[in-house]
Amino acid sequence: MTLPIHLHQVSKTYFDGGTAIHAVNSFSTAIASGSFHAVAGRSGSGKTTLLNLIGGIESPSAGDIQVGGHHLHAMDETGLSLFRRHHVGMIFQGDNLIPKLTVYENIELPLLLTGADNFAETIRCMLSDIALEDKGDRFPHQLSGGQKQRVAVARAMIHCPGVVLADEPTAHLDSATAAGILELLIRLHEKTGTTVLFATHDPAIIRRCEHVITLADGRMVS
Amino acid sequence: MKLNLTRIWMRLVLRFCSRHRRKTIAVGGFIVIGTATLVLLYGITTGINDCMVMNSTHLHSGHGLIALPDTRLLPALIPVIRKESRVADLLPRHRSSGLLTGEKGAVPVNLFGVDPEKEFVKTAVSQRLTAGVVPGPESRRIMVGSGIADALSAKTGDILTFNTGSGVGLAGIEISGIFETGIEYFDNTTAFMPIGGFTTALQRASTAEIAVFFSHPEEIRPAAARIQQQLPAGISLRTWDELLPDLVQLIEMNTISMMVIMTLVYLLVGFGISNTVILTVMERYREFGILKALGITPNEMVFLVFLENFMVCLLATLAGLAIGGAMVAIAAHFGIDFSQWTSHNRYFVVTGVVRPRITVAGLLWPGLLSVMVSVGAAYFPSRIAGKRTAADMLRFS
Repeated sequence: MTLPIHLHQVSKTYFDGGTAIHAVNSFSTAIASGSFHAVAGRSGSGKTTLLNLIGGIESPSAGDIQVGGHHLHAMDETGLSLFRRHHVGMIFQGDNLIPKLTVYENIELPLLLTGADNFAETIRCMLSDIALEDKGDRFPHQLSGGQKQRVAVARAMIHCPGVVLADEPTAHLDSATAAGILELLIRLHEKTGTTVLFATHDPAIIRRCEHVITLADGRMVS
Repeated sequence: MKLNLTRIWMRLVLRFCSRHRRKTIAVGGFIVIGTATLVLLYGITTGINDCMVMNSTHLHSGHGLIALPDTRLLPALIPVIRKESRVADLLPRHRSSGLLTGEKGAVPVNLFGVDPEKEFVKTAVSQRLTAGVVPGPESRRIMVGSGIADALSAKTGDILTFNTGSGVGLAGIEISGIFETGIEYFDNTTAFMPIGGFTTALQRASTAEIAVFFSHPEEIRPAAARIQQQLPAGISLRTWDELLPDLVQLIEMNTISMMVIMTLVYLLVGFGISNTVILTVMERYREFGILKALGITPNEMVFLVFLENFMVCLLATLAGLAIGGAMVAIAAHFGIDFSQWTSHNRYFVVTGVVRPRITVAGLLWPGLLSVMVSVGAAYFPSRIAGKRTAADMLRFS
């Protein structure tokens, strides 16, 4: 089930010593369910914090966040964990995978957590979708950077979450590989219809997205 | 916990345990070595206690002693006692108190009329001979303690006379041997001669005793109780722990002090385990952060980390018990010779060779201690992993 996202006057403030840092500042927006959004902005503009807030990884200092009717600001840590388990797929920068689990086992994790049964065929299809059908028994250190991120995409999408949050998944990849990851994400998005937020500062990727949210100093500028 | 524990957590835990090999070996190694050492220490303690009991009971008293007012009771009671399946051997004795007189003096003694072929095989007095030989059957020869020989200035071959207070006596008794156990009271007052050397008059003037040896000396209470039920009124079987309360206290003190030391040692081991687990939890912050980001709740994270470490500790405990048991068995086979440090100790007069022994408590105590310490050592790091948020863990890493 794909989910809409509503943010109203959301702020997140960190304190570094005595100094307040407003990573996200009075941010409001509505993201339609099933859309594919790029979250653009320079480093430090608040992209990661915004995605973490929508994913329930961090709690807002102020404001309301609703994802598919779930009021994240009112949830405790356990509630947020269960929300992520069932409704969110996450892709991070850099090391995304559990190093001691194989490709297959990494992709299997969300299914195990949601209590799914008989998912071997589902994983096999997903491995085929990401063109790693022969690498299911490999460990992350045996994969290239692009392959690792494809596995991360597969893990984020395998349990058909309502929202997929991709935090600069192409940051450490060459442009061809980055384009491949984006293509994969778009293809899976079209297949499942899930809402995708893709944080990036790569103009080539931003141009490919149907909607763009641009951040600067924690505020939406466009 | 809503998730199917066996299906998910055990699968994850087994994967993490088998693939984080360095951590598993580091934590497991601590436990294996610690538990095996505890089992060995407990086995040695039990062996030392056994050795003290054996040394004390095999010198004279047996595991139990029945004192009889009349030697004529012996023939009727011996078959009754033999019926008890746990009785390994019996040593009936005549006992007469009187004055042993030599050319240069006289000393009060307890003279025991014994069956030399059994008495000097079963008990260890014959191993403590300093001169001469043990007397043979049917002879009027005597074996005396070194204290008696010194008091009489007597040596082997000298002739002595024995007189009881009631005027019954034996003359022309030849010293065949002199023993020295190191137990002053025993050496100063005890003499043995074959029962055949006792005259009928002396036999009638004597009291009697039966030293009872059990096949399982560590569990004599039920057998002793069964024997006691068969004995006539006024006659009792006194077990070694009643006869030797000082030895009982020494054994208890030995056991308790060893347990205190083991607990302290294991607390240190637990501290080491906890530190190792904390370090590995910190090393795996990103991994745990990703798991939390995927939706593992704080309580589930605590459970996962706890179960992972507890499983390692539990398996290592079992391995430690097995290895410790094997070490005890090997040490028991060869024996540990403490003679150099026990030669002047009254509780080691027969032998200073200790044979460690495994007991139920010897496995249970180290096992329980190991499991308790494992729970503590696994719980604290798992709380750390559970408490940190996914954002903290991902940021920290």
